[in-house]
Amino acid sequence: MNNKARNNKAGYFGLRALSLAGTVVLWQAAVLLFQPDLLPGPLMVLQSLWTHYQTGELLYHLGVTLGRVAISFVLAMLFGTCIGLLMGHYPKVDALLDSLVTIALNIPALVVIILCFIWFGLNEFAAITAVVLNKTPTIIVTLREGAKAVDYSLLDVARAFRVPRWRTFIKVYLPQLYPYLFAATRAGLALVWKIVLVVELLGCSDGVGFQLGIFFQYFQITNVLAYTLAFVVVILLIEAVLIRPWEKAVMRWRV
Amino acid sequence: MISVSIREKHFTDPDKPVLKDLDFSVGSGEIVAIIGPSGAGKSTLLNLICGLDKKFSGDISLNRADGQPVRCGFMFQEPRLLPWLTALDNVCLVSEDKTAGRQRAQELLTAVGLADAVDLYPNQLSGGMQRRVALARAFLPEPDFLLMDEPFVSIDHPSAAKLRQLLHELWKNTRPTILYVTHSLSEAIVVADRLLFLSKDPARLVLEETIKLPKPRQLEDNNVKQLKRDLLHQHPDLLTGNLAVSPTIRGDVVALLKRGV
Repeated sequence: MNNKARNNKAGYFGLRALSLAGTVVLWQAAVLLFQPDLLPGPLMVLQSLWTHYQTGELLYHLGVTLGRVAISFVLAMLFGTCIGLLMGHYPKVDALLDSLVTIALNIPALVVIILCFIWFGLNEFAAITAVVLNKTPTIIVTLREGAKAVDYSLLDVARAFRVPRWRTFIKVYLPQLYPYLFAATRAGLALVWKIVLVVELLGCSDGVGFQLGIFFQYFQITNVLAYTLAFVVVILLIEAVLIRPWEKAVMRWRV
Repeated sequence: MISVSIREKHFTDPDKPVLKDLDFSVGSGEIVAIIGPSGAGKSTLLNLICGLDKKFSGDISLNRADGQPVRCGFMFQEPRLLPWLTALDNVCLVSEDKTAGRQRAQELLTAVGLADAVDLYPNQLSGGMQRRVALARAFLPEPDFLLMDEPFVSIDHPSAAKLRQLLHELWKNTRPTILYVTHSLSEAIVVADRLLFLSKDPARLVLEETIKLPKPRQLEDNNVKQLKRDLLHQHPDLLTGNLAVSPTIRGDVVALLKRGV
């Protein structure tokens, strides 16, 4: 890495830190304008976070929710990618499923959640199914675009040289989908955890969403913000530790 | 050797064949240039020979004298390198054996003068360098047959000359059979042992010319220029694709029948 690149990297890190710090400052400033029982300050929220952490309750519910997020995210990515690629590559499949996808995209998440709980009962299966059904259509649409953008002239290179199928898939086909897979992953995680919380609020007896429901009933805003903060930290960590380095590794060629 | 016997090839409209009654063969180790106007179906012909396109009537066979399975190399009009692989990995992509392939890829890239660029990505290479990578890739499988589709177009003349020289040097080592498609008569004379001229709509063989000039040749060589002048003098319509099908060309049965043969 040359000096300029290193300076840039340091500069970008500074900007990231600055935007986070700025948010905290704005938050504190807003507290001065409102009553503290409507908007508690950062310090109060941190205190509450610490208390919940020490009882072990926070980690338990966070773990349960993250488990649901992970399972439904993986399932939705799997189904969405497969269906999306099929639709992108085969016009007949596209014609067959296109209206269904449009409908699925526009049915409110809440409706799907309620129906799943009514049909399948208040259980884990219903919860996961509801999240997957809500998330899959957006992944389908993203990956369908990806499949349509695949450059067949590069696949012809592999065919002309009789490159084995598996290697063609890994080295020639898949890299063309990476930008779409990343877009689907980012948007996917963001949406999935929001839906998971609603699902938990409506039909589960554990998880962050369930806890938030209780805090809402007792009007405990500090606790609501403490749980939110915990979740935000986890999401930022996933982005910084998993997604960004992975993206950097496979997009290295875009210099 | 390659033997081609295409009855007909059309795309959407069966009444407008792209290729029709096209018969020729290429001996092993021979370099044959196929010359025709743009849109004559030259690329289509290569795709058929390579097996990328299987929808045609007729017969194409590629054989080795010893009956072993054949290996093909292909060079396209554009370099068609994978942007996410380094120069070395692009060349390695087409190898059968991973470790031996890597070794050979390194040697080939050195041979085309890119020893220092093996770890660079295609977008860090100039157009001429990208084509050199594509040339190295085409030679990696130690091909028996090398199909080249106007491989050195749209780059500057010195780079193209350098590439033709590299092609000649690489060819000398293993002597693959080369089918070289181009629209440039001069380039064809420089590269090939034999020229096949195609007509347009549909493409048929209109003339065959063997070149006996000593190799390697350059565009600037007087005998190359002279041969080009002679050919164009004898057949003014040669490059327009409007030349009448020569009755002496093998495979044109109708013309032969008309002459009562």
